[in-house]
Parts: sequence; structure tokens; C-alpha cells
Amino acid sequence: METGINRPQKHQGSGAPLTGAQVGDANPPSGERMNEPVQQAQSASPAEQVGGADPRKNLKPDAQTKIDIQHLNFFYGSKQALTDVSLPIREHQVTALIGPSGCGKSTFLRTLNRMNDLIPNTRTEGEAIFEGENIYSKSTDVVLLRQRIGMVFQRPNPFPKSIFDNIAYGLRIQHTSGKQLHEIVEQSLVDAALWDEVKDRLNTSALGLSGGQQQRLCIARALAVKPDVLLMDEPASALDPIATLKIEELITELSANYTIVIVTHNMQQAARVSQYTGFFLSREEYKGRLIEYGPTVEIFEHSKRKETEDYVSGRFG
Amino acid sequence: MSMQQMTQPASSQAGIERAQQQAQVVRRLHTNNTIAIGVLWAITVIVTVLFIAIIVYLLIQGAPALLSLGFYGTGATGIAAELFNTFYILILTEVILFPISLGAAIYLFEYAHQGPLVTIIHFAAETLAGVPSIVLGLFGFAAFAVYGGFGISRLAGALTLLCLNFPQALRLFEAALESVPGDLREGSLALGASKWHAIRTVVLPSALPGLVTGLILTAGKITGEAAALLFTMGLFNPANVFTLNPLIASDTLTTRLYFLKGPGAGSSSLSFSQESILAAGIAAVLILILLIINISARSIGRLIERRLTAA
Repeated sequence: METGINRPQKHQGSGAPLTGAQVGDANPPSGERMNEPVQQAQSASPAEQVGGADPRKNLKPDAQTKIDIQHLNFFYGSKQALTDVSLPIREHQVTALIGPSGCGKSTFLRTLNRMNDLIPNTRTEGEAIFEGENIYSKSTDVVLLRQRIGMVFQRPNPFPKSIFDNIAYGLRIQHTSGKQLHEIVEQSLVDAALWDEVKDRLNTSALGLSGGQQQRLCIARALAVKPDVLLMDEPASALDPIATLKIEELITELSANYTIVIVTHNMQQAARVSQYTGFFLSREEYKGRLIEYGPTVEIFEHSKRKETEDYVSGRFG
Repeated sequence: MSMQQMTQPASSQAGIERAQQQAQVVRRLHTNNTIAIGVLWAITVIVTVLFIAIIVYLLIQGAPALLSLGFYGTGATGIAAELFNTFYILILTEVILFPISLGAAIYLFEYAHQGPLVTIIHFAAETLAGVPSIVLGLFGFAAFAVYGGFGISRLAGALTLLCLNFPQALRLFEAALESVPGDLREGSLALGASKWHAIRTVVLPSALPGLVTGLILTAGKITGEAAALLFTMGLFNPANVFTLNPLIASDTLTTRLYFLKGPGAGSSSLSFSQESILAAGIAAVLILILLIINISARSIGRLIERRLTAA
């Protein structure tokens, strides 16, 4: 996904392929067109690159804190992966977590619904206050927590069941049935912008859908249980540019009703969809630290830390 | 493609030499490859022909018995009782084996902390898998027939077969669970499923092709087992052989074959040639049953897989 995304001005990071490296402001070479739908004018500020929806318009400086993470440390065995991370997740806003590979952003995301519990020998310190309770507390019921905080994964992971049964999966856990079940399934598919494409084949296998459709199915599946918070772990990284655009539009729409935390490799995606951004970095001396957090526009245009500026401008990472 | 086309135009003497050297190396690579293909092909053909020859030979030998009506009856030259017992013991063993080994596989793979205890259990199971079946037969006699109080009986035989097949079933079922992508488990748990719910609704259905294959492969092994049953199930049938009573002694196709050409040779009312025809017939029936079991293992597993993933 990184290939066609143009980093704003400055020079291109070393990770970019040679063919796309010389991106001028005026004439992007024709090879760059592969990312057409996502790409907008070069000179525009990142936030303005989205066709129509400017996440800055949805920025609510007074948004309430939905999850308040304080002094989080996380360990894989003896190896520390997150160090003293504190940030608020704001209600009905999209919070993007960016940073180079291995910086701990996905690990952080997975602490929020205790997904790391599945990995043996891990340890969490600190607290994340969600509705007055500490998520990391031993007494937290993870089953209930995960019904409140849903998750969409990097690779689409539909169950080998019909489209309908996939969406109904979480609802059936909660013993929803009959007419209500059908209504919520339909509404979830509508909300995930998938209904028109699948309404005539709800009983066929979900594995027959395209990658982008499968990912929207997974979003619909997560929405069906009406979570308060939706965690997304690089939800578009395995998708082509058009499917990515659809997912991004969907995130923007969903942020009206859901609190969303999205981990992304793709800085332009963070700029396009999020109101708040957290920048993670892992270095020898500080493993998995949150370097900077703030409104996305601030991070991308007036970052206070040099590391952040270097990263968002493509000087490394 | 000739070497001239592939190398630089050889303008100098050094260039020509280099090209010749390269040609030699490439020629040797091709020669070695051809030799390897030839050897592997020959081995494959020999082994395949041997297998097919064995099967065809046994079927031809067994044809006279297979074509005679008395073979399917209950008389001295009939195998009706043995056929019944073979399937009876197969089903009885699987009914005990399947839930036990699947349960153990689920616990070991999905729940247990992957530490030394799991390693020890796997080591023990693999050791058990290496124990000769005749030894397990003796163990079964002591443990189930004598101490267990079941006597020489179908139940003692089935329990012995359970010990014999448990390691393999465990390994096959664990492999089936392992083949289910972790993504699916996470997807289910992230929707607020408990671990057991995720296993029941996502993991087990996805593992079904592997589970069925495991079930049928152990079925083949049970059908073909003789040594473990010699001491535990006996070699003779009582009058009430066609009942479901698990506490009676009885023989199976394999133990009947053993008795016929082994300790019982010449002792029955049958002539030597009759005995030979009967033995060949039993061997042919066993081959046919195993063929059917193995073919259905493949096709049923594939069928379920296709149904689960069908678009």
C-alpha cells in the first residue's frame, strides 16, 4: 500500500520503490496513477487530500474521553514492548496510531480488548479506564469487554460460514434471534456499505467474496454486536487501492456513531481518516514509546517533536 | 538456445575460454538433473508396480472364494460372523476412541499451557505409538481381560485397540486443529465468544475435514489389526455371535486368517485347498475394505472441505 501514496513534499523515504521515488509537485509520473482513487493533489495538505470528507471538520476538541490509558507498560516475556504509554481515546472520534514496524502500535491496540491474553507469557502494567473500570484488571470479564470493544483485523478473517451466519455470529452469542436478528444483520451490512453487493446471496459462503468485501463483512460483523469502540488493526493493508478507499470512507461515516482506534502503516491514511493521532517509536533506549499525541492536523503540520516530523515527512520509517 | 546467444560476443581468447567453461558447467548441471529424474522415476515405478501387483495378486487369489455363495454364509467356509465382528469392533472402538482422542487433542492444543507437561504427554504418546501391537495385546489381556474383569471379550479387544490407536488419533486430531488459522480463533474471540464457543462454532467445523480423515485412517488401522486382538478377543465365536453383547469372545477377519493358516491349519473339517481358498478370500476382503476406507478418507475429507469453503 505504501507504493503509490505520496508523502507530502520533502524527499521520499528510502522505503519507496525506485520508480515512484521522484514525485514532483507538478507532474506525477504516469506510473504513479496506480493509486488513482486515493491520490489527490500533491501540494494540498494531507488532511485536504480526502475527496470531500475532511476529518478536521469532524474534530471535536471537547470530545469526552472514552478510554483513558495511563502509564501502560507491556512485556513479551522479559522483552518490553510498550513503555509508559498514556493517551486518551476520545468518544466518536477516529484515533490513528502510526509509527514504523515493530514500534508497538499493534500491541497497544490489542491491549485494549485484551487480545494479547492469548499470547503466553505476556504481562501488562498500568491502567486503561473504560466506563470506570480498568481494562487491564484481572477481574475484567474479557468476554464482556470484547462485546463492548470490537476489533477488525489486518487480514480479513471471515468464518467459513455463510455471509448471514458470519454477521449473526456475535449476535447469536448474545442469544439474539428471529426477526430482530435479521434486522440487525441487514442494518450492519448496510452500515458497512456491503448490503447492495450481497443482499441476493446472504446464504452463500463468505469465502467467495473479494478481499475488500470480506473486510467490510468483518467490519459489519463487528458492528452487529453494537460495540462502543471499534479497534482496527491495519484494516486496509491487505487490500487494493479502491477497496482501501471504500474502507476509509466507511471509517469516516462510522465515526459519527462509534469511537474508532485505527492502527495504520500508511500516514496518508491516518491523515485522511483520523481526528487524533498518536505516534509510536521503538528505539534502543525506549521500547515502544508514545512520542507524540494530538489532533492529526497538529501532528502532521506542526509536530512538536523532531522524530514525529521526520517520520511523517518520510525521512525515515 | 545455444551458448553463443546466451554469452557475450567472444571477441578475445579469454572470452572464448570463459564461454566454453560455462558451457561445460551448464552441461553437467543438465546431465545431473537428467540422471536424478531417471533414478527417481525408476524407484517410483518399481514401488507403484509392486503395490499394484500385491493388490491384484490378492484379489485374483481371492476371486474363487469371493465368487462362491458359501463364503458369505455362516458355514465352515463362510465369513459372515467375522465380517460382522470386524465392523462391530471397528464401531465400538471408534465410539470410544473418537471422543477421547478429540477431547485430549482439544485440551492439549487449545487450552493447555504449552510447557513441559504437554511435551511429556506428546513424548509418552509417541512412545506408545512405537510399542508393538503384540505387546499391547498382552497388556490388554492383563489389564482389561484379567484385572478389568471383562474376560476375553469384544470390550477387552476394543479397549486394547483404543490404546493402540490413541497416539495416532491424537496426533491426527491435533494436526487438524493446528490447520485452522489463528485468525479465525481471534475473530471469534474478538466478537465476545468464550474459548469453548469459538472452538465449537469456528474451530471444530473448520477442522472437520482433518478430523474425518483422522477418523477414517484409524478405522483402517483398526480393521487391519490382528496381533492385539489375539489375546484379548479370542479366536472362536460363540453361538450368539450376531448380537451386540460386548462381553462375548469373537474373532475378526484378521484373527480368523491367522488361525486358519497358523495354529488352526489342518485341524478343522476343511481340506487344505479349501483352507487356502478361504484364506485368500479373507485376504481379498480385507484389502477391499481397506481400499474403500482409504479412498473414502480422501474423498469425504475433500468433499467436506469443498462444502465449507464453497463460494
